Amino acid sequence: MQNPNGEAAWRIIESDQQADSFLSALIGGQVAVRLCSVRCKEAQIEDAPNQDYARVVIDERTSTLSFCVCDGVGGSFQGHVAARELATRLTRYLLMLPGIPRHPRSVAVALRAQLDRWAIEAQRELRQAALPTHASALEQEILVEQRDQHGSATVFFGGRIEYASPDHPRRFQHTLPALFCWMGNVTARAWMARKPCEPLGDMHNDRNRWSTRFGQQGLLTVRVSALNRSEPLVVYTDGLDALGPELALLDDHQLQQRMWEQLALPDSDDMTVLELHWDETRRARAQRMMT
Amino acid sequence: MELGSYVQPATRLTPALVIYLIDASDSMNDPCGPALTKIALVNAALREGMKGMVLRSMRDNKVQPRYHIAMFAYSTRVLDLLDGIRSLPDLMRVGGPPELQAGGSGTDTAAGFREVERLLQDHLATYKSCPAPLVCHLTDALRTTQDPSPIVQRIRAMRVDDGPVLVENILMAEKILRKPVKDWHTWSGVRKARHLADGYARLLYALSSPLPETYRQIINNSAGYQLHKDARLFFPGTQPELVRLALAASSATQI
Repeated sequence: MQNPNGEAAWRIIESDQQADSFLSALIGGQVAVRLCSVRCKEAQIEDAPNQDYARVVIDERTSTLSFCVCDGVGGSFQGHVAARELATRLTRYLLMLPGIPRHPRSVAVALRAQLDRWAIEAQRELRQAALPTHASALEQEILVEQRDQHGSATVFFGGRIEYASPDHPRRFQHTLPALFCWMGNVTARAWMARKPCEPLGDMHNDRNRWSTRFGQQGLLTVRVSALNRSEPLVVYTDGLDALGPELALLDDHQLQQRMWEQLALPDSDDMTVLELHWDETRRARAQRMMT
Repeated sequence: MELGSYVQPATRLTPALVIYLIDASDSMNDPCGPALTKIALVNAALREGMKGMVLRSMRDNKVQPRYHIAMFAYSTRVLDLLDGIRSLPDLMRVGGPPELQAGGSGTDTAAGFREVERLLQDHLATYKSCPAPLVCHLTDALRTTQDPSPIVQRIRAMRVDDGPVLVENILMAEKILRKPVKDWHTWSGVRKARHLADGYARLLYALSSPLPETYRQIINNSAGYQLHKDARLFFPGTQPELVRLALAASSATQI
């Protein structure tokens, strides 16, 4: 079954908010995906959800994918909810765009309106969820205030990439058309055509965010780019800031090792990294791992 | 005195210890504004302050033990209101901070700080890798017994890896600033003793730690203030907004 939008044909790769995720997948022999997401020590001890959430949605018919990496804001009401809500909605929205425009302005205007619309829906759902019965009266008072006055919030980095094979007649041989959007301190390391690696995102600024209570809070950035086909796109949450530039160089074993090391630090944060590779080497490695 | 870095975040594994030392002498029953007594203002602000800590400690609807609290009230004698140190979730389980009652003719500030010193001597080693403990002293009046300065200096000389113990003073008295402040949100904080019109305010100012830069940024960014780099952890507590600011400063560790 598939709805008129063809959504049933979409392939979804997502992180698990209740457990650690180490996922690799090869999409149509053209894109290698690596997704790792680990809860911080505090969440593991409490068996609390991962406030990070990452989602990749692929439409193999059109050789297009969308992705979103979110980091739910700790001080907000159930940050993991905003992370999941936003990523789910944003990936669907980006994948359903008719294409990547030459200029980002039209998408930015439409997306701003969507962010506010999604917030109203999500806040309504949030208010229907039961509050924990174990909480004391003061905790209940604080939770209600936090939910109703601040809502659930997340920072995010999302995008849409058209990854059709380089021999496709309508595609450039060395680049991939891409559209990125972000609010807050989820970082992407991207190689644009003929340029050195450029970090994207608001770096240490988490005041730009999406909130179920307020919608867009702060600045939304939308950018249209051409990605270098021979380099990966690496997107990660601030729990991995210390590893940032080296993430793409680590094999799976090394990456896990480095994440465990970060976990041992008392101020460890949830950690998520999403890597998308289009080059032969990484695709071949992903293929080997799966066979 | 050696400066600290004050960058250690408050986490479950490295909780921040905050010790409240509150003057509960009879004068705290005096009015503070048209509708409240000073002690009622303190009670309300403490509750607000705890809510702030809880908000900074919430994960998945559960309060994490990122803060540890001790609370003393003093007048003629000193009362340990929480029977030692309690984690924030423990304090929430018993309904939050206790409601303070003011009474007693004396204001034995030195005895209050002596209890704080004893508590720190007993427990400081436990907090070696944690954010520097912070002592938040709130008073409205002149001490009636010995000068607490030597004890406070000893407390400020205690240290953990993050830096020396911090001492904050909130003085609930009128007209202690030489220049009236039009807008507290653009106020730079107390930066020089000569900005104070009152002798006891100058003493408490001298006993207050410099405002750590990390704390300053968190207070300014999260609450919309403009405290300057050379401000101290000293606040006039003449109105609810200022007491809230001062109590927010007590838990402005990174998380």
